[in-house]
Parts: sequence; C-alpha cells; structure tokens
Amino acid sequence: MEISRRKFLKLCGATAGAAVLGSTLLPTSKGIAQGTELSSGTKYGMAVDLRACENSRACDGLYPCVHACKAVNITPANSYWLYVIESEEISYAKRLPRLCMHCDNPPCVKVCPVGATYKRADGLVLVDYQRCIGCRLCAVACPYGARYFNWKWPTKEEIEKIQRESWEKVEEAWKKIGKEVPLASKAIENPRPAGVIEKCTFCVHRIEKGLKPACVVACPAEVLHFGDINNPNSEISKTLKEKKWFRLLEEFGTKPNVFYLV
Amino acid sequence: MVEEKILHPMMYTGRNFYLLIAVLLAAIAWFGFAYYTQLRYGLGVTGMNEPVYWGIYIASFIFFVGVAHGGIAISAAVRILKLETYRPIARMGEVLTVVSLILAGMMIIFDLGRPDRVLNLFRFGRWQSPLAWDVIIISAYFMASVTFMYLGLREDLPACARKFPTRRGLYEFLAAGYTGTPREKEVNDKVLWYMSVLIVTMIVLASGGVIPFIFGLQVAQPGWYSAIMPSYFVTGAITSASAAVIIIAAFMRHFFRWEEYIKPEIFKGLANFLRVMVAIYFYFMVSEQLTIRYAGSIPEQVVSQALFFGEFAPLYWSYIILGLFIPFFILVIPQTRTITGIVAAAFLVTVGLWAKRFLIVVPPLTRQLLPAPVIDPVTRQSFIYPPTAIGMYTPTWVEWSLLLGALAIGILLYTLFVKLFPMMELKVVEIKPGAPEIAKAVPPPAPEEVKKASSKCNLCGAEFSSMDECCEHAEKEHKIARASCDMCCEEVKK
Repeated sequence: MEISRRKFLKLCGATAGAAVLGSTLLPTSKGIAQGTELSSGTKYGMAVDLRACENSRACDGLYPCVHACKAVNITPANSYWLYVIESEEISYAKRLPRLCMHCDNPPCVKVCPVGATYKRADGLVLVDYQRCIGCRLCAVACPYGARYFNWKWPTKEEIEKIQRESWEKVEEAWKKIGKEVPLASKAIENPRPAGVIEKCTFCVHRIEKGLKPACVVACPAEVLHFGDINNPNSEISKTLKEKKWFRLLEEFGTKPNVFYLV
Repeated sequence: MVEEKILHPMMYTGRNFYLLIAVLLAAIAWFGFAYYTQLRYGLGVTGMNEPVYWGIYIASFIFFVGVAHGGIAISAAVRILKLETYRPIARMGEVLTVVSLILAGMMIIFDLGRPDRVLNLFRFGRWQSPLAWDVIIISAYFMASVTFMYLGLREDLPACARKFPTRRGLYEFLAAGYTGTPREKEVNDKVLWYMSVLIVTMIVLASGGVIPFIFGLQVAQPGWYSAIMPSYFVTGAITSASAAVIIIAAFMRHFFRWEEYIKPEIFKGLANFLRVMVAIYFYFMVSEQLTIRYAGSIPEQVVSQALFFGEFAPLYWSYIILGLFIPFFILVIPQTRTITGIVAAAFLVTVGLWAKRFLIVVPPLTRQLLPAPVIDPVTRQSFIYPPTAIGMYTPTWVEWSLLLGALAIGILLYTLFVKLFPMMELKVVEIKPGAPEIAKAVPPPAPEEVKKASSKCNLCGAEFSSMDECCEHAEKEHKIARASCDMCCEEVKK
C-alpha cells in the first residue's frame, strides 16, 4: 500500500468534511425551526369548564366528546386522545377531561430523537407520522399520558366498528337534550400507519378549514372553549380573564395551553 | 508446541460442537418466526401497552450494554496497568463486549415500532434527545471495541496463518500486511495502549453518561427522575460485566482444559472485585429508596410502594436476597469462595441484574401521574371507567422468544469466534514462566528438589512437598476448606 500517514489523515479529514457538508444538505427537522417563532401571532388553546362538565347529566356514561374524537380521528380501539377521568383519585374535579395540552415547553418534543414530533408556530404540537420511528420515548416523557402508540394495523371492519359505535354514543347523548348532533360525522382521510406515535391534534384538519375541534362541537354542555389565546378579543381570552383557572401538572414546567376553569 | 493447547479448539471439533450449533440454529429459526410475527402484526403482539410503553426489550438493552463494559474494561486494564495475571482472559472479555453490543443494538431495533425507519436516527438526529446520543455513543463504542479486539488479534494472525494452511488466506487478509516483526509489534502495542485509554473513557461516557439519561431526565416518570441514575447504572454495568466474564472464563477453562493458564488467582481477583461492586450497588439501592421514602413526593412513594409491597415485591425481594446477599456472602466466606462457588455467585449476580433492569424500567411506567384507561393484559381490551393510575405488563411469548433468540445468536457468534481465532493471546504462553515448553527444555529436576517445594501456600508463603500437604496446612492454619484449597495453595513448577 502506497498511502503515507499524512495522505491517510488528509483523506480522513476530507471524508469527514464531506460528511458534515452532506448532512447540511439533508432535510432538517422542520418543527424545531418553526417552533422558534412562537408567541407572536396565533396560539391555539383550550379552556375546560369543570363545573359545567360535572353538571352535564346528558353525558353520564356516554361522553360524546370522547367518542366524537374517536369517530373523527379513527383512533384505534384502546386509544383515547381525549377522555374524561372520573376517578376518586382526583379530589378537585368529579370529571376531568384530559387531552394533549399542546405545551409551550413540551417534554415530548424535547426528547424526540428524530424531530418527528414538533411544535408549530400556531402552538400545536404535532407528529410527523412519516418520520416517527416508534421508539415511544415521547410517550414516556409526557406527564399527562396523552400520547398513544399504534400497536397494530387496524382492519377495515375494526375501523368501521369503532366509528359506528362511537357515533351512536354521540347521537344518544344529544338525543337526551333533544337536539341534533351539530357535527357531520366526517372522518379524517388518512388514519396513521402502524408503529408510530399519535395523539390529540386539536383536530388540525378541521382547524385548517376554519372549524372547531370535534370534541368542542360535540359537547352538549359547552364545556370546552377553543380559540386563539394570543388574541385579546377572542372568546377564550375573555373567559380566561374573567374566571379563575388552573393548569394540569403545571409544576413540571410544561407550560400547558389547556386551562381548567373552576 | 505450547501454542497447541491454546489453538486446540480451532484444530479439533467434537460431536458436541455440532450438537450445540444445531440447538442454536433451531433457537434462531424459532426466533425468526417470532420476529416475523412481530413485524407482520406490529408491536401489538408484545405485552407492552398504554401506559407501559417499554418492557423487557429496553430492560435487556440496558443489561447488554452493561455486560459489554466489563470484558473490554478488563482487557484495557490489562494493557494500561500491565496486569499480566489477567491477560489470559483479556480476549474473552473483548469478544464478550463486541457480541453483547450487537445484542444491545438488536434489542433497540426490536423495540422500534418502525424498524424500517431506523436510519432516520442518522438523517434527522437531534442533539437534544438522549436517545440520539445513545445511538451515537453505542455506535462509537462498538467501532472502538471492534478495532481494539482486532488490533489485539492481529498480533496472533501470522502464527495462525502458519499453523492453518487451509485458512491461510483468511488470516493473511485480516492481518493486512502484519507479519509480526518487532517493529510492527511495537507500533501495534502502542496503538493498543492508546485505544485502552480511549475505551476506559468511553465506558464512563456510555454507561454512566448517556444510557441513564434516557431515564434520569424524564420528569414525568417518578422513580426514574433522579440524579442517582448515572452512577447507579455504571455500577450495575460493571457488576454484571465482571460476573459475565467470570462465567465465560470458567466455561472456557472447563471445556478446553485451560486450568494451567486461567489460574485460580484470576477468579480470586475477580471475585474480590465483584463482591465490592455488589456491595456498592446495594448501597446505591439503599440511598435511592431512602431518599424516596424519607421525603419523596407522593408519586415517587407510590412507585416505591409497588416495589416493596405491590405486584413487584416478589421479584424485588428475591432480587435483593438471591441477586445481592447470597452472592455477596458466597464471595466473602472463604469456605464457599471456591471456583464453583464464585461461578455460582456470578451467575446469580448476572441473572439478578437482568431482573433489576426490569425493575428499573417497568414499575415507574405502571404508576402514572393521572388516572387513565389501561389495557387489560388478558382480554387486550381497555376499560375506560373507572380509569386507574395503575398499568399492567406481562411479557408475551414473542418477547421471550426474541430475547432468547438474540441470546442464541450471541452464543453462536461467540462459538464461531472460538473456532476461527485463538481465544487467548498467544503472548500468554510466551511470557508465562514455567510453561510446559520451557519445562521441556530444562532437564527434569532431581526428585529431592521437587519434594523441597512443589506446592506453596499463598497466604503465608510456606512451602510443601505436595498439594495435599499444603491443603492440610491450609485447613489447619487458615481455616480454608479442603474443597477450596486451590484458593491459597499453588503448585510450584521448577
């Protein structure tokens, strides 16, 4: 071999340099770049009226918000992007709707090794289903347990069954107060592939069309208020100014954007 | 030839070898079926669920990374500190490191929901994620240990090429021009020394600096979120690794009749080291639990309660008794500190530390901060109401098959290495005083001389005419049982 040490080292250096240059040409993590422009412009948030939730008799055992979410987002059988905790372990509320808090300091985004979960400029924390490798570190990092994993491919029958059964529950709850469901049972077009993480998106496909999230619309008791919390004239900003609220597990430094009115 | 005894496994292959290979291949075929099932149906075929997102794959991953540390640590220490006594087990440790790093990598791949996207870790890797650092440090560690093993092996390749003309091409190709001249040897040894320093640094980085941060940084998981994690993990890693090296060295010694090279002192030294490490590990466990129980937050206490009195209590307490106390006392009491005893203790420690890794990973995941719907492991259905903060996890046959299959792959790799390369550095026979070859060169000593000193007590230095006499003396003077007399009596060859 006629390679001197100097030549060999030069070659190594050149290879390393080319690798660094090449890696900058590859697509970078989009969420991080966008997330830096936070706090100006729109920031979506939600206010949850705990007293109204407690008092809604129409919801007993039916939870139209939970099932509207399932029907619209076609979540697998055991995933509840939104669900209502009704537990004696919680002292401050008889019913506590729990969904993704779309935190300003999201622990899930911090730990993602590939930047598949990201914070958008409008405050939404979303998952890139095409990039996620399914390591579930974000699910472990979330204090709210809001992230779900797609354990397997659902069959077509399963999807239809979930949609049908969920929708029946929504309709039943609205029948109790004698009204029609103000939500077309339009499901999203593409359910997520198996083996990736998924979670509440604030129904991003509806927001982008100017609609409110499915759970907000499907709630018969006006418990959930959704809107832009950066805009002082929005309905939600006014509510937050008037009423007392707290945020869930705030002590973990997550800066959540879901507010619980008491 | 003296080399012959070391090269023996490469020259002769018995029926048992083929039997072993057949068993391993059968296990690997079963593993293939299990992995196909997992790929076909997704991770739903495992026992993992919400909220127990991680199971025995991650526990085994930590375990294998831990085991990977010891072997190469011994080898690096041999080179840095010139510990000639331990040189015979240096290469066994290096190969153990490489094989268990491969297994650790496999465990991570098994755990991914989308193994087809594993390259995303390199395409989109983020510095902020502890897992991305894991990938970097494990890959670097793997490269370093393979290089280290190769450089050590390279010195023996010319001899192998001379000895096995049929495989000459392979050895000469691998030697890459190395012929064993003194100058080449000197350069190679120098590089090995620097590599040793690098590897010792990396052990601290990998096991003490990166892996534990996957856990220690998760504020959402009480029971993980603790500054003790790094030192805790590095201690566990070195403990399990020295235990694994003891087991492998004992196997090799037994199967290939290498008693004259792998001397009892090696086991004695490793046993001393192991018992100190076991004690330190126990100390970390106590300080972890004391901090939680004395003034910990309620979620932390709930996790601790699950370990002490909950569904994990049987495993937890059996680990403390079988994995810490019994091995510790076996290694402390002179009567039980025989080679058999040491190997048994090492076995308990190794299996125990796997269980401990399970106890680190799973219990905090089962205790959530908020009550949530959890999946019933039997019906695989979730019951929404009432929600509970207690998750459940039982590994399924797929998970056990993948774990055992990976072990079979590891053993197969190790076996093939044993058949292709010398498992001990040939240097061992060159430097050993009293090796058979030298004994041959010297005319046989007169019988009276042999009687004068053919056995020596290592504890007081007294000399005896036979091993029997020395054992008698050890029993009387030092209260060492006859069975373990090889711990202090040594044959002197002159």
